[in-house]
Amino acid sequence: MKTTGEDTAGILTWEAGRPRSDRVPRDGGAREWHGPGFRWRRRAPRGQRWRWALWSVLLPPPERWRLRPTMPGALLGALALAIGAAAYNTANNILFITLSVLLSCLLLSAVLAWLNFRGLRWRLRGQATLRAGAEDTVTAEVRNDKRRLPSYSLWFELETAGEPQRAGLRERLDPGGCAEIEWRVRPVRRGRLRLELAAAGSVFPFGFLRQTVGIGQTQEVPVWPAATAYQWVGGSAGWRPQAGEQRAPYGPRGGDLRAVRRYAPGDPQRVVHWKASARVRRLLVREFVAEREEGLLLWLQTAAERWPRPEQFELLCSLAATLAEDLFHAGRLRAVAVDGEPAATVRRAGDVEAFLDRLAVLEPAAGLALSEGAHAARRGRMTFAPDGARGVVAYVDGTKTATA
Amino acid sequence: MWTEPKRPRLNLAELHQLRWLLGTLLAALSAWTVPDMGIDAWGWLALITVAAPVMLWRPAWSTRLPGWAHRLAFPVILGLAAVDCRLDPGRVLPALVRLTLMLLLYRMVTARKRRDDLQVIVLGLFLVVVAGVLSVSVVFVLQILAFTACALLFLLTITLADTAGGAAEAPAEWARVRWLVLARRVRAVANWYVVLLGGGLFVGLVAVSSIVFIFLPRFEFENSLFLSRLVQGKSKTGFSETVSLGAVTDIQNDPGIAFNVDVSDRAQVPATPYWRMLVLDDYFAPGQFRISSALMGTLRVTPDKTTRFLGTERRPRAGASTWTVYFEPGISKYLPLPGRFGQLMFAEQQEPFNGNAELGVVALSRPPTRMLAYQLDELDLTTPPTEPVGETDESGEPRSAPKNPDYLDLGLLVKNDERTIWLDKMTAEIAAPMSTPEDFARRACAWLERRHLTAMQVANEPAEGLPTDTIVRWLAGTQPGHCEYFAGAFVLLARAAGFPARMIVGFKGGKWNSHSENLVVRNSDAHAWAEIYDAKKNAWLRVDPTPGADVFGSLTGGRRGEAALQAMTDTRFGARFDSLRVFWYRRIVSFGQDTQVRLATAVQQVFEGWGRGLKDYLREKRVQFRAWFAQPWDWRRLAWGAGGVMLLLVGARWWRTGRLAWLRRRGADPIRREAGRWLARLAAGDGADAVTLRGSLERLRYGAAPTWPDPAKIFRAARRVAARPRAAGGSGLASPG
Repeated sequence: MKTTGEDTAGILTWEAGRPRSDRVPRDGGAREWHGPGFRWRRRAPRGQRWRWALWSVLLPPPERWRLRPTMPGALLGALALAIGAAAYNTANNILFITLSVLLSCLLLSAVLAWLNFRGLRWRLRGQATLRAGAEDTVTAEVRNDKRRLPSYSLWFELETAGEPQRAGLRERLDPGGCAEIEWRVRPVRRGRLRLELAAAGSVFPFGFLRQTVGIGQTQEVPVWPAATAYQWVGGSAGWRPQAGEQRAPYGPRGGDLRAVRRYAPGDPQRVVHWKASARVRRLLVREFVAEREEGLLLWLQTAAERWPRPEQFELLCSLAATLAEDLFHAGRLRAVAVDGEPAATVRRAGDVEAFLDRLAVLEPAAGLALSEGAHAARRGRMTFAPDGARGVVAYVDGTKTATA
Repeated sequence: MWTEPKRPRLNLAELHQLRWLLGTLLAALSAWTVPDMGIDAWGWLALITVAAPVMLWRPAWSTRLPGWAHRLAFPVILGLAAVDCRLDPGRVLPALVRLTLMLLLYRMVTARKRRDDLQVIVLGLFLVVVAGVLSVSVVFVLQILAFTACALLFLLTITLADTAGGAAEAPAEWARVRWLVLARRVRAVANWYVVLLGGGLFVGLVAVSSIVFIFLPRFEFENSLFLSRLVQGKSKTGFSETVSLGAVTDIQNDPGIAFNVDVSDRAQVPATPYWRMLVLDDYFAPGQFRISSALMGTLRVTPDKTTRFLGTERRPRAGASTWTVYFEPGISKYLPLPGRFGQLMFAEQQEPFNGNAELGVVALSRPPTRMLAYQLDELDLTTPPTEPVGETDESGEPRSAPKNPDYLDLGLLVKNDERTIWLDKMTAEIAAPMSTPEDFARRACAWLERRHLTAMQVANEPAEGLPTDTIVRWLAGTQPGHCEYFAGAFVLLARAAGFPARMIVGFKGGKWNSHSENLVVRNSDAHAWAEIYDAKKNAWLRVDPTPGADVFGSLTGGRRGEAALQAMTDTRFGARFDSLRVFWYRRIVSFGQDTQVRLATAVQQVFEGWGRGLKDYLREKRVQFRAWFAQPWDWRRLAWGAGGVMLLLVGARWWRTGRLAWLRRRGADPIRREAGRWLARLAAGDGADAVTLRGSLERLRYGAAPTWPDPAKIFRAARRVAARPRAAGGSGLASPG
């Protein structure tokens, strides 16, 4: 990873040179660089700054810069108090000198701590998604914009669902250098998870003071349903991906060539018919028979009457998500639909991800009629129904195909 | 996590090696402050001195101590400390210092964790501070600065090692250290800018410490320091109640400074000042003088702790002569006094002590363990000591004539005694007939000078046919002798001749340090002389019988003032370092509430002076300009005026554009920054004009410079939009600065 340019206003253009960064962040705010003291400056209105400063001493806002003594710092403070008491009690200038040196050391510590944080910028890297029950990595980027001074001993705190996790830089961050800090996150359930880069801190330089800078940079990430094991019972009614089989999500969907049509956004590059495109000077893609005829419509009906048990509804979401991914990888997923909404055609991985995003926040729809709905007449539709008290079964055109 | 390293970094093992080095150095450095305390701990000090290089050479040995040794270590150390206290009851501080040294030694030879490192720092600080408090030496400044630098580096290394290693133990390879390789690595890692900044910050730390020291509010509770009571001061045997021949001469071998003196009136300084410390009137054994119990009984005891001792009870007058003495520790509990004084003031309260201003002796309760500062007001160097008079009438005149004190009965000299026979023979040779004490003193000194030379080594062995008494034997012969022989011999001769006499020990002379402008008296100036009593004058006349000295010790005559100072000036290079010590005593050790008030007043006056000066200067310039402007205009003056206006315009233009260009070169475009700040302020605004304005601001913030609208117009519009809610009575939007 490297920085490719910086506009002169201090906002950076970040080029993602690695596959992880190709994902488009769902939260634009998470891409913004933050640094020490940004928020406070913004929020203090003119004419009230002194009042703000005074009040913030008594009731420091969470994003304020805070200095708290560590155990050695408290020891030093106690030592300074004892020496100060002895100095005043005896008017001994040797003790006053010692007291002065101790106080100056504390001051120097605070100055170096400020220098250490000066010119630092950090941000949460745009996190695309997480999956319930699966461990994933959340990354923050930190850069040192100082010209000459490195920064040391930094740590950052990530809060996920109210649980803080701390990760630190073990090495020096050179001037102009960048670093990534990673946390391992395992969401428990689907939904939207709030990631908050809560604070940055350090005990540099002498370990007397623990300085903390509140950040409060948040990002909401959809948590896809957990992958679930299912049993494929559909036989020829569908296609069950075999273990170890090569998946080609972006490759040709198989089958005979049916036609050549104009390129539509989302079509994979591998289906582009280059010769035909060159001939007509327009981008054309190949369309296969299987794509048109053998694909399935994955139709999810979420009526609360059908799914009265929350755990069964969760299983429905997990099964639907798993099947959607598997069918897409097998090139058998044509479209997806939820309740009476129009079916969304699935051409690329992004379409499946959008469906999984939808599944992340899907809730049983109260008051929805248990009718076949808009897609009842379509061929090749996969529907779901409860299977006993706990299970879920998937049907393709009324034929039992998969159970979980 | 990954970073883009530009310079090499110290790995965890190297950081631990550095930590080990700094911890060991810190322990050794702080241990070597113990000699300044005057506490006997040479054994532990030697062990630490040996352990430091050994453990640096073989750090791996620190990990080889078996577990049972660690478990036993603290009980053993505490047991040793208990035994130490038991053997030397009542002296807590020496035992505490030795306990600290034991703990430091233990931490030096065993592997340390973070907690142990912090313990080393705290123990070391304790030693440095106690040494400073007990010695009040200028060396304390060097010690505390070296300790602070070392401790801060040590703490920095601990922090970096903890960050690099997390909760993990130190890797095993840290103990296989090669210091040269490590030094090269540190050099490669060191960034010259960071090193310079670190040095600058340390200088800043010293400066800030000085400022904090000066401005720390002082409230003087007039309490003497408890630590001083926990140690026993030492004194030199030549300045104690009993003095053997040669004891004072032994002191002369020590070139160290005995005391420094600030004099308020340079004209009063004699060419050869005499500093009385102790009066020895009892020749109780051959070659041994002591202060008699009768004389000791004349010393009055101060009723309570005090800072003041009245001499002649004359209140100090404004502008009266005042000498301030900075008396070094380890010399004597008797204070050196150059003459009579009106009042003696100590810088700190003293335990009850003895003194007699007429006798010219002040004895503290015990020898000071640190520098003692005292001030002598209304100093009178010309009036000799007197015998206390008896009862006085209403007018202050004595009711009866002074008589010889009882303790001058000369019971020592028994008739027909061997010594008496010898002394009678000599006094007959010196002066016949006896006249005045002064006449006798002059003749006796001349007689002594004719027979004896001066020498530091005296061969005065008993021999057949010579007296058994040491001094009388020396008198009978012609061997050279030192000041104590001459003074003792004179006392015996005077007493044999019927004149009361006594020996005085103290210091004679001194040097004038022209750098710090003060008198410096060294231990090598230790001296013994005599006093002879003149009953008619009720005065003890100073007699210095040592050859080469003025017999009456320049009490009234001799060179004084600048001429004397010029003759006494110390021309050595080392005088510059001696002046540092005086600076330390004057400005640091004696710094107090009064000094603080004086300093504040001086600073206030300086600033007021500057303010007045600036005001006057501006007023003068304004008047000059108006006068210049009112004069008739010609081409030359017009050209000058136009040039000035042009200069102002160029300056304004540079401020507007050149400064911006300079900021842009530094990568901080102020227009983009300003636009960013306004965007943040106007983010919540609605309305068509706010939306349009935000678009323009975004263009300024993110767009290419050639596509920018006029920034000044946009910012003016932003100010108008921001001010609108405020004008309407709302909360208002702040300027983004």
